Amino acid sequence: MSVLQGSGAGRSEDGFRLGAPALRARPNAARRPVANGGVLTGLYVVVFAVVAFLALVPLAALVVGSLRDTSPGLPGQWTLANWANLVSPGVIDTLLTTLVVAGLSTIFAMIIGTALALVIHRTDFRWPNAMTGMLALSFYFPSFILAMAWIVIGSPGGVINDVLREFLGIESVSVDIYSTWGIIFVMVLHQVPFVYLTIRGPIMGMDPSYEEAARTAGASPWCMLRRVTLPMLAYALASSALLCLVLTLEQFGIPVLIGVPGHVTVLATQIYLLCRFPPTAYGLAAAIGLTLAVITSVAILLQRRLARGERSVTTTGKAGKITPIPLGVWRWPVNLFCGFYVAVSLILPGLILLYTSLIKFFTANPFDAVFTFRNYLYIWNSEETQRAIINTIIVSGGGALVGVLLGVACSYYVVRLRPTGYRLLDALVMLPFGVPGIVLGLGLLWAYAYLPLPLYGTLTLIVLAYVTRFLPYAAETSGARFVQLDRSLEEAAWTAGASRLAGVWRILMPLSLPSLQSSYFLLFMAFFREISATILIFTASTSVLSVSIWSAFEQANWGLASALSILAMVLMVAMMSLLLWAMPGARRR
Amino acid sequence: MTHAGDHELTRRALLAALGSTVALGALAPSRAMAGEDWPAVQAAAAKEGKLSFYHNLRPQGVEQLLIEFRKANPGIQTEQIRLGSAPLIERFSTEFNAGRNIADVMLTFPDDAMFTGVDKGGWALEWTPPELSAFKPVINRGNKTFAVHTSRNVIIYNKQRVKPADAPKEWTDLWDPKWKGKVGMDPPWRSIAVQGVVALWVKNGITDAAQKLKANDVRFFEGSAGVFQAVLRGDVMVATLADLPLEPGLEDGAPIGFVYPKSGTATNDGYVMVSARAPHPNAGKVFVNWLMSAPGQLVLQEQGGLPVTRPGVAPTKFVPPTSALSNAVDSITIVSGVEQSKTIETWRETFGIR
Repeated sequence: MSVLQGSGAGRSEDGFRLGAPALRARPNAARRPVANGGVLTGLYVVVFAVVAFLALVPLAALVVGSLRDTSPGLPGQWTLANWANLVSPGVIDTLLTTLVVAGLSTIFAMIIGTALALVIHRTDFRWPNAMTGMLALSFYFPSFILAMAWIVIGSPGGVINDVLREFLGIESVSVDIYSTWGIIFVMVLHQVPFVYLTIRGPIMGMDPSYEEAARTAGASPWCMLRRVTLPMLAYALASSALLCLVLTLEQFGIPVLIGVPGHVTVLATQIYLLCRFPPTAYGLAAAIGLTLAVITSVAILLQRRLARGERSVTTTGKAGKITPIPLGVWRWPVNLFCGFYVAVSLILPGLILLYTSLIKFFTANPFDAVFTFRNYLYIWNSEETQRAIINTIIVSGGGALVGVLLGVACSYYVVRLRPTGYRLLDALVMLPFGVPGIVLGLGLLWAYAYLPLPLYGTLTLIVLAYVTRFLPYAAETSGARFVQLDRSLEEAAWTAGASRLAGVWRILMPLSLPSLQSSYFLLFMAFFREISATILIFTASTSVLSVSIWSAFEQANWGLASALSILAMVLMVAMMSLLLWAMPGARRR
Repeated sequence: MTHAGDHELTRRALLAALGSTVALGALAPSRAMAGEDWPAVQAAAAKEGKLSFYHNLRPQGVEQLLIEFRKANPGIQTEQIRLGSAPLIERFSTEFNAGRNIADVMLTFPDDAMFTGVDKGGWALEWTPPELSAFKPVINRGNKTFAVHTSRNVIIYNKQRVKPADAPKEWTDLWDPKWKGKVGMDPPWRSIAVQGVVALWVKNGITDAAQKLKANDVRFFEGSAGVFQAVLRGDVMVATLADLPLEPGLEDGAPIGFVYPKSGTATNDGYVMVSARAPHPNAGKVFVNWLMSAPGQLVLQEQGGLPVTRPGVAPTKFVPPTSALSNAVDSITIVSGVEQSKTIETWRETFGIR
């Protein structure tokens, strides 16, 4: 019996155990697909094995590390001290601060990101494509670069205070980014594009007939939003919120830069200190990282249970056309809201980066600045940077494709087919995501340095690391779309004699195209900007652009870091334009 | 290098003595002192044709440094990895223990883990660079690691916001209430260099600096360069930092004033070594020897921004040489592993970072 086959209730006649009622195939022989269970079984085994390997190998290394008083490979003793230290008052206080910061950041990011997505894709907002492009671009900003830009803008000696003091003569009012609210503000700016990109696909894929019906019944736009639109998006919103929460929990670039001067410590800062500065405590860092992974896994399990009954089928075979909601008197407030967001998350930081890249040392007043092109000349002449650019393009472009294919395969099995062990597969996909990047990097370094595989020091390892870390992006984004698609669409293909694979290829994939493209963009940009795991496993020949930026940044060479960031953004725009050109479906709203 | 006030019997002192003995021509020369057949090493290096350099130098500086090395040694291609000291040492350690030997040469500010790795783990090749004879013996740690440049702790201030007459002159001025909320530093739990200056304060009888700086609302920034940027921006007016970013910043014309207190300062040497398992050991030796040569030291000083240890090299343009500083104490002589842990524990406790 194949792992996909079984008998009894809950399994379809072609041997696949099906899930929630909305997705369950009707017992109709005429709707049975042409069997190709063997291929699907084989593929499932391969997908399961690959995901298990990717997730468990670095985690196993971390488990070993957490039980040793030295790094793996070094002489040392087995110990439980690292785990015992988890309940120290310091760790618990820091955990509480972390939860407050992450929770508030997630709530605000979800509100703003969802509002932007609804405005762009559900109303007659006039610049949807431009807004999408700018949100995608702001997603690129590495967190530490965004934090750096906002320090220049909002620190005690920054641009805002300089304008208040020098130009307006106001001494009594000042802004200080170095605070808990400063961290939350920058985290929200950083996470909103992620929220937007993860729910864009589901919003675009919603069946408009439900909203039309509500409208016909006389529901106001607000009532329709509360009673129809948001409930239909529940799964996508829950998934997005969960991922957003995990990302904010493990975020370290922003709290390190903004929190440390303001004496605000979060768990990621703690882990960062434990991992990077002597006397290092890798074992404790691993224990904290693994604990976070367990918490995340439990949260995911709960979220899956809650969502199972809520998953909404919103795309059926019935034709429908979206009627945009007229903004009416809300047009200008909405325009201002969108404009303000783009200004503070993209344009202002972008201009600050450009300015910083062109001056020898920082001064808030451009008239006092000494301008120079030396940072760009350095990039032009730097062999290392050129190699890093090529590596980045290979890793982001090719690696994101690998990630999307694996993520789609995982979510197809988890959401659609639900074979034996699908929940474990689901958990394995999500498991590394809850581990802070810097800790996961440690696990990857320990694992792949010691495993007798020819991976260490290759670009393949960088791709594997990125796929391990960001697979949930692809799985969640495509999974959120799959649950919206009524099984009847595939069944119609089966009725016409198509095999299950043909149904996937001809029905499921085309209807999921916006989400798949969102997945690719998400992965592409996440890979492009990833640093925390890369920093421990890159070698001279596998260095990427984010490492170059981090190196300059770590030396507080903000001019060079800014110039490299500008270059990265230009590259990003060029590559995204190329992708949009190559994927006609992505140009559709 | 001047190391005053150093009367304790420390490992460093013992090693320095050992180095001196060896340099003066001990009766039983070691294998390393038997002398290198340098032309043979150079020929082998050219044959290897490649060098992998692990370091914590400035990104812009290191590329120029490697260009100069390649000019002097055509035929040897270079590649490099730059990380902060601690992660660099951790990376080297993991690769060394796992048998993934990529690094030929490592240059960094060492901590206890590195010296333990070198002394007990066999990380470094034992050999004698031909240029070693031009240095004071104190830079040589057992013919394995060699101090090639030095950072020093300094007080800086923003010249646009603080008049030189009002600027702090001594470490104790940093906890003057007039700087409340306007003092910056790299926290000691993050920086080996700052641990050095804290140890110096303790040595000078100031045991409650953490409490005093907390009372003065000190602000922490990421690394000495982060502190430098914060003072430049005006987030804080005065700060203490390791002087890595000072020379390049002053060369750019940054409005930063500086004071090396008369009561003394703590120094930290950057050490270079050839890995015992270097894939290209001869290229590694050629590179280290070039780095210790007069032209190499000059390039290192210009591109690294720190005074070098070879006597006779032209001084830095803006910051004084270590020999000109009053009571400069090598951090290694006053910061043991135990004291390092104690300092970090005290400061983390004081600032609630537990």
